[in-house]
Amino acid sequence: MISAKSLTKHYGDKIALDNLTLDIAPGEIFCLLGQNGAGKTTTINCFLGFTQPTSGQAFINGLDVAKHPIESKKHLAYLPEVVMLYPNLTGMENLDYFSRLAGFRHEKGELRMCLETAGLSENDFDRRVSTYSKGMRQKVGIAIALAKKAKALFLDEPTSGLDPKASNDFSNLLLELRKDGVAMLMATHDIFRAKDVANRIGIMKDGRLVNVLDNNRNILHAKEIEELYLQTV
Amino acid sequence: MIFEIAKQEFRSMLRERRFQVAALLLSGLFLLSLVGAYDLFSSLKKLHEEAAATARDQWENQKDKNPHSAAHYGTYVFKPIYPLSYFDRGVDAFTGNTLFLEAHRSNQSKHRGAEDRSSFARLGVLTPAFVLAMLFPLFIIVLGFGSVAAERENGNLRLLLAQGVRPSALFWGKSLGLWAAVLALALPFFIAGAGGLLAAGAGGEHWLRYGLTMLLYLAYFGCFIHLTLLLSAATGRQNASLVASLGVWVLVCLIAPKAAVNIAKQLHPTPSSQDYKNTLKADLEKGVDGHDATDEYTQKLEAETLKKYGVDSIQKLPFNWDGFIMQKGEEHETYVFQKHKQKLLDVYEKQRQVHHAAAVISPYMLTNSLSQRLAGTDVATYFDFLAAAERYRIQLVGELNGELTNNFKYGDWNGKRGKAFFAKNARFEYQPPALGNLLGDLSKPAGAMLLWLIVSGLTAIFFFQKLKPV
Repeated sequence: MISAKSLTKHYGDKIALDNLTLDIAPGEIFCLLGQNGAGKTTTINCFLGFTQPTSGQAFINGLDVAKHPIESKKHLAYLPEVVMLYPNLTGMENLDYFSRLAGFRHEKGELRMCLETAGLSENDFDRRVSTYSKGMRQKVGIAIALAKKAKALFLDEPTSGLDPKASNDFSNLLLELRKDGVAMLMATHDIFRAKDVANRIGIMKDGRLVNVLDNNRNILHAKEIEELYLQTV
Repeated sequence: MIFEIAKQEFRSMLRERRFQVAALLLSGLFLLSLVGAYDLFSSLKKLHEEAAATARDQWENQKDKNPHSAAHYGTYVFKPIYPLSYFDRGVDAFTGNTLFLEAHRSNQSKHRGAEDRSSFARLGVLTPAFVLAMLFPLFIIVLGFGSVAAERENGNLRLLLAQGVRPSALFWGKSLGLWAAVLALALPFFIAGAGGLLAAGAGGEHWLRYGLTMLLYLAYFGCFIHLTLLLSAATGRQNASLVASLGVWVLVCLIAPKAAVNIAKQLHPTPSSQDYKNTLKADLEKGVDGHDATDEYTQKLEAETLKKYGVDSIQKLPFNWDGFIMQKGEEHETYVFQKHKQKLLDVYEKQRQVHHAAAVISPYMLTNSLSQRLAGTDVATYFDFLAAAERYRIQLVGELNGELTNNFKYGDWNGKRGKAFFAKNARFEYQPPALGNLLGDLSKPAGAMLLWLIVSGLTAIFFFQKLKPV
């Protein structure tokens, strides 16, 4: 569903992404760990078409992102680290607007369902986003991703700014989506969260995917991962 | 998708204090300008109509006198105040609308509004045209500078593009949203402005002119919508976008017009008033002076005329020598005045052409010149009025000198003419160029305006395509 073939990105002399090859199947969560500047966000940017790779290709559902910038977007949803939205619109209006941009005209009930699933409390639905906390905006962002019913989901440090309860709810939500066959690529600093949800955990350094850990049977311990991480970076 | 973006843009804008405050401020200014300008227009119009009637009345009811004395007595003519002049006063405040006509000289116009008002008048009276051309762009900038730059800065752009929005659709949506905000204000303005036309009781052609003027301003607003979006996308940052847009506004609306005037004057300098008068005087002396019998040209003409008619004294001529010599003098003076005026007009015309050529760099200047042309308050219409007034002066003085020449005995300076004669003298009827005759003149700047609209739009789309969300 999500795949990269020798994806490489140079910024002048600096190598941001070095020959990344990756395949994420439907119903699989792949977590990317790594320090800031290790290439996690660059990887996501390449899949979203925001960054043109120097060489190699990124595919969404078999579509080369560089060749099908618009078509490939139909199959993906994206949750950035900071979801700003439009402060003058309510949570519902924001969700409705972003869904319409993706070509959906959801019923009110359906939109409410998405917000509810994302964990926003119901009396906040019709308040303006300018009154929301970062976590609440993040939840609307999740709802936007949910409403798109995408088969590939890109998450860039989605739990930063969420309280532990919300973070836990979010993990459960990801596991639900996994059951629905969504392929997910999540960049994160949160080793515990990664251990909870990931099928595979990749550790990046200087643009290279150095280690990939199999967590399919959820046998890894956070401590082990942390040790490996510290050795790697 | 375009309409979704436009709708959200407009809805979001309406809820913003920035829009509310700016719209309120601009509406207040526009209404103020409309009321003030219409008030000035109607009082000027009334004044002119009364003064024109009085001038004619004074002409017809002047004391019985010799026709040539009447030519010295002179009369006033007034440039008609067109209905649309309340909308755009153009150069009227600087050129004046009143001309004193008399024998022997071709005068300059009097009663320039700018002369007897404070320096405020030089800034331009607060007319509806001023509010639309100078201030309205600021409203567009305030609403639009952040449009895509803010989205890029706060990360919404990433989300938008990830939803599959095309950059070109984003441009069209944003510009339509801005258009909605602009029209929400401009249309009520246009309707209110038409109220003035209605109150002035203007005829069909003026409505057509008004319609064209409104189209012109819409195109002008379109240019600023494009420019603002272009800079918002090109800079990608709100601060830079605001500074750049305001910079463009200063350049287009303030610096370019000033620079064009200065460049035109540099290239084609206007002679000083002193020089003009001196060369005029020198040339005037090289010809017949109807009031000086010892003048060498007068004596030469006398000798020639006597020879032609085969008589030995001017008393024996079949016409009144004094009237004849007055008209000959008048013809010479008219010739000299026209020659010098033409030189001056040529300079003005060259300056105007430089100005017109320079206008291509500024949609503000294009709009201004078109708006004034349509309102009949531009320099060209003023010159047209001056030419008509001069033709009338020649005709009137000719009628008076003709009466003296043909119907008076030589030396009969006591003979008089009264109301019966003066009432039959030609009247000054000035019609400004009809709209149909202007179209050729209008087409070039209008074409340039359209080009601005298209080029700025295409450039904006180009920068939207290049927009980097990271």
